[in-house]
Amino acid sequence: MNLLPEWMDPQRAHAFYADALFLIPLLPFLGFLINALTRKGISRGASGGVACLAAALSFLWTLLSFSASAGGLADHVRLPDGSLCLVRDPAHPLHAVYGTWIEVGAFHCSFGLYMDQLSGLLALVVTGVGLLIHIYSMGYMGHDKAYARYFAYLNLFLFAMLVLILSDNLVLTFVGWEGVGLCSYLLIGFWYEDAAKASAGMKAFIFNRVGDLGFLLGIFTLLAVFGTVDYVAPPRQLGTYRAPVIEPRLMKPTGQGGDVAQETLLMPENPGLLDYAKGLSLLAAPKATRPLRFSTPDGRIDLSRNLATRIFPDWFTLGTAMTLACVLLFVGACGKSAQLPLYAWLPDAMAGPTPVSALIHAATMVTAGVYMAARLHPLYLMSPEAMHVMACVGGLTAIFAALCALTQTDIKKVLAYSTVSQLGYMFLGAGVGAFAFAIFHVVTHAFFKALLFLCSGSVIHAMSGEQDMRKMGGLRKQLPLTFITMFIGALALAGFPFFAGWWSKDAILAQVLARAHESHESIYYLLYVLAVVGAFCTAFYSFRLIGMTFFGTCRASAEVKQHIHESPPTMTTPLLVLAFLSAAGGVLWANSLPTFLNFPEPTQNANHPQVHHVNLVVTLVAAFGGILLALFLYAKNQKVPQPAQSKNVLVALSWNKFGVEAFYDKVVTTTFIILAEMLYLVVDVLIIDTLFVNGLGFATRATSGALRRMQSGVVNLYAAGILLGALAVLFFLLRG
Amino acid sequence: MRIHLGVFLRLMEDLVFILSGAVCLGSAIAIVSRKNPVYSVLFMLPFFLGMTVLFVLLSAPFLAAMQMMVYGGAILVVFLFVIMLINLQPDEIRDDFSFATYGPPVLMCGVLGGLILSFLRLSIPADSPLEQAFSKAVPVERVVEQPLVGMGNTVPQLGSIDSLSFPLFRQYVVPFELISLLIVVAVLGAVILAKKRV
Amino acid sequence: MNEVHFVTLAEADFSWLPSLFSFRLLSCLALATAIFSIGAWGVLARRNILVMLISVELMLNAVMLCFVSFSRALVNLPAPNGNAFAAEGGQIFALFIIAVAAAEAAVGLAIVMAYFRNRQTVDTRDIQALKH
Repeated sequence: MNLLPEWMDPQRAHAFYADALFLIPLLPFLGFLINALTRKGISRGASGGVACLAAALSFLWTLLSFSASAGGLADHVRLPDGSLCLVRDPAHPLHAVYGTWIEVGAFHCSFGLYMDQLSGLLALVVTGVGLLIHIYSMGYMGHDKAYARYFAYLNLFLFAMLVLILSDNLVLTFVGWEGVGLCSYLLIGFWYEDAAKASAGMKAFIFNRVGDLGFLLGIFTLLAVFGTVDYVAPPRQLGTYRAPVIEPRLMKPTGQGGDVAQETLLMPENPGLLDYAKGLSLLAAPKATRPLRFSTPDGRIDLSRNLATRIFPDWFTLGTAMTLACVLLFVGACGKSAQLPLYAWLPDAMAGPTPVSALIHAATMVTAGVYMAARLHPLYLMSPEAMHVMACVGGLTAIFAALCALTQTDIKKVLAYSTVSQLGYMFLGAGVGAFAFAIFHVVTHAFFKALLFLCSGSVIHAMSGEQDMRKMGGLRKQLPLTFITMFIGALALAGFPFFAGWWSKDAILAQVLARAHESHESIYYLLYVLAVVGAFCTAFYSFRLIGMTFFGTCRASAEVKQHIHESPPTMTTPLLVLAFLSAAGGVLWANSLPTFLNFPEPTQNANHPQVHHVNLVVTLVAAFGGILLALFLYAKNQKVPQPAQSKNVLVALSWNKFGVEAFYDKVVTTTFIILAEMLYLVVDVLIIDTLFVNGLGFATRATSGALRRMQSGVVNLYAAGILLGALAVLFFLLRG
Repeated sequence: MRIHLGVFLRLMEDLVFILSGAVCLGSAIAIVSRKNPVYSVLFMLPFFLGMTVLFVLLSAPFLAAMQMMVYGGAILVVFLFVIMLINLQPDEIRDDFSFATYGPPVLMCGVLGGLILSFLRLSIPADSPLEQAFSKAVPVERVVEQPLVGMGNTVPQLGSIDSLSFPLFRQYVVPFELISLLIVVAVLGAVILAKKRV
Repeated sequence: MNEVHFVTLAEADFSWLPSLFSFRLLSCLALATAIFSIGAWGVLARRNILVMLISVELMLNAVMLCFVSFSRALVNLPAPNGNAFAAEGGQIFALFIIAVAAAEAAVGLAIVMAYFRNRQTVDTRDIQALKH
């Protein structure tokens, strides 16, 4: 393999960049190793520098690879019936397989990396925002004693996240999935000497684990149905260049007919999940009723190594299988992306350092679920029920978290609930079919939420560790840069026109309304209304945050006031970059994202102009209303809320998060503790200790006590033993 | 009533067998069941007598003589001497004849005997060549292919000294010599063990 | 015997038992078995060492009877390898048994004498120096 890119020859360049994809996760991993192995001996500057360098190089390489994958390689392949088939899109994904991992029977899983538009975009976001946060952390964690360990974990997280995004099969994605869960635990419980912080880390990990069970079951279902876990067919060989893979294509029969048996579907060799989904969606018969046991007479269709041969019961149709798999995968996404039943870890995760919150819990890890949905969107499109579930859960989460965020007093907790709410919006968008816009919202959310978290970190840094907004106020004179950037971030979050958040959120809400309009189901209207109310609340609490923190008079103690200072440049530069992206980042893609990502247009007809107009008006009213009301209450009138003592029913409900977290704490935890106690008493103490361990000793002693009596010293007994043995031998001899 | 000689001889054989067998069995039971060990030793005598008669019946006259001389003349006497020397007092004879002591051995011996008997029954049916060859009146005629060395044309009968000496000093000469060695060793050992340490 | 037929007591065939009272190979062997069992019983059940030794002699005699019966039964079967005196082997072996029994009785009794001189008892219940 040539080390220099042969840019004169685009095919060789493409091959080179595909083979070199492993560098993107490898560089942060090397940074992790260096930091982890030289923890005590390395100086702060060196360790931070190594980590940032690793992140920067990874970002650079992602940029180069992304541009290579977007290059103009178009190939036409002449098919047997004479037609020309376009092979892949003009943008060639980079796909490289580095070796087989598991090969058991018919199951084959390999180490492969795949960068197409979707994963390339997200990898750019992860490495870019990650780089900015690394730089920020050098300033924020400058006084911390476990500096090198922090950067080691940060780099490990980058590695795991990149593996998750760039992997080409579900199992490797799951490896990255677990890896980011692990790093989240390590980083949330970073200051582990504090028991509350350590247990917050454990809470996050356990919630993630519950979701991971669903994810695994989803993988198993897909494996059982399709026999493969790859997303797409395997690529050219490493180091050489071979013709790329064929896209599934339906070939009309030349003779009579037209029903399923006569149509032939051209599939690539060893198709992946997405190829199957595309192929199946091309076949004419309705998906929900098509049994899984079918094959074509002439054998041209080989839909699976397993589909035609495995015995499934008749009621387990393709539709059922897809729904089951998609819902299970979504359960995994609920755990990772903090949707309604499994979100409670995210607010507690604010116990970790603020840059960690920014990176993991705003920009990257929590979006892994949305990435999964977008990656497997052909499968989801085959199962309307799963998408329905996704939309409902997402919408409910959006409004629920928005309502909870209204009364929070901790600056980071507001942002945490805001994250949960925005993730709900992403799943809502995915649920109605607007996968591209959900990804768009991921990208913009990464920008402005990371910005908001980093600004809050700056504020906390200035306030010497104070996080309660009731003790802040009037900081805009002393922290001008932070104020401006945070204001921009809040505008983006609230959906102020032309900022990044407005483009994506507006697009999602438009899709929801269009879907409601098209399908006339009242549930979608309800979801739309809830989403709009959520948008209003979003605007309200974001500017409540701004008002309480930056306006009015400072309510801090005198000693804290003395230390208020603007953050060093290493912290403010990332803020500026992110502010620019939050402001201008939406314009770049806007409505062309679906085509860019090669996603299908949302099935509902989004070209209804009145839908767009209505939506536009409604969201503008919601956003402006929220902003103005919040600024009036909190900036002008300087209301200092005391939600714990409030008599207002709604405030009390919101403050107590509608009893959900109390329910988890009391009911769920207690149940598991009781279960654990019972198991301990029965299994551990009774069965293992008493029965097996002590019992073994007792049995040995008893047996030896009985056997000892054979040595009686009485000759008669010995003679009797001899006779007995002789009898036994005789008996067996005589039996033949 | 005219009885054929063969039938008469066979009747006699059966009678003698039954009598001597009864004597053997009875004295055997008496040996193992007498409380006083002197009685046990004394009952050995009729036992050996019965065995001798059986050997003679089975065409082993030399063996019968040897048996009487060695067992009845030597071993029996040695046992008597030892009993005398040990000089057990009646109250020192402490055998108990309870069921707990006797039950299991009876069972085991019964099983042993039953097993062997059933095996024999099934492997030696009445029409097997072994049985056919057995029941002929004494003396037993035998046939040899070549005339034997030093015997002229006569063929020695089964169990006579002549017929025993042929194999003893040809085929089995090594065990014969080893037996003599064994006896020497036994004598030495007995002398050493029984000597009084002065 | 290739198979053991387990028949119940009711269907068992005991008609061959009276023929044991005639002079046949099987009856001699049955007698030998009986004497052997009685001797085994004596070894197991009696506490007096002397009586045990006598029972051992009993067993040896039973085995001798067995050998001699078989030698009588084999006398007219064709001789293997031109060995005319194959049937004598049983009696010769019985002779050896006599010799060995004599040697063993002598040594055994010497041991009993020596033990009795030390412990003044010949009851096996008291000879328990090797007990655990």
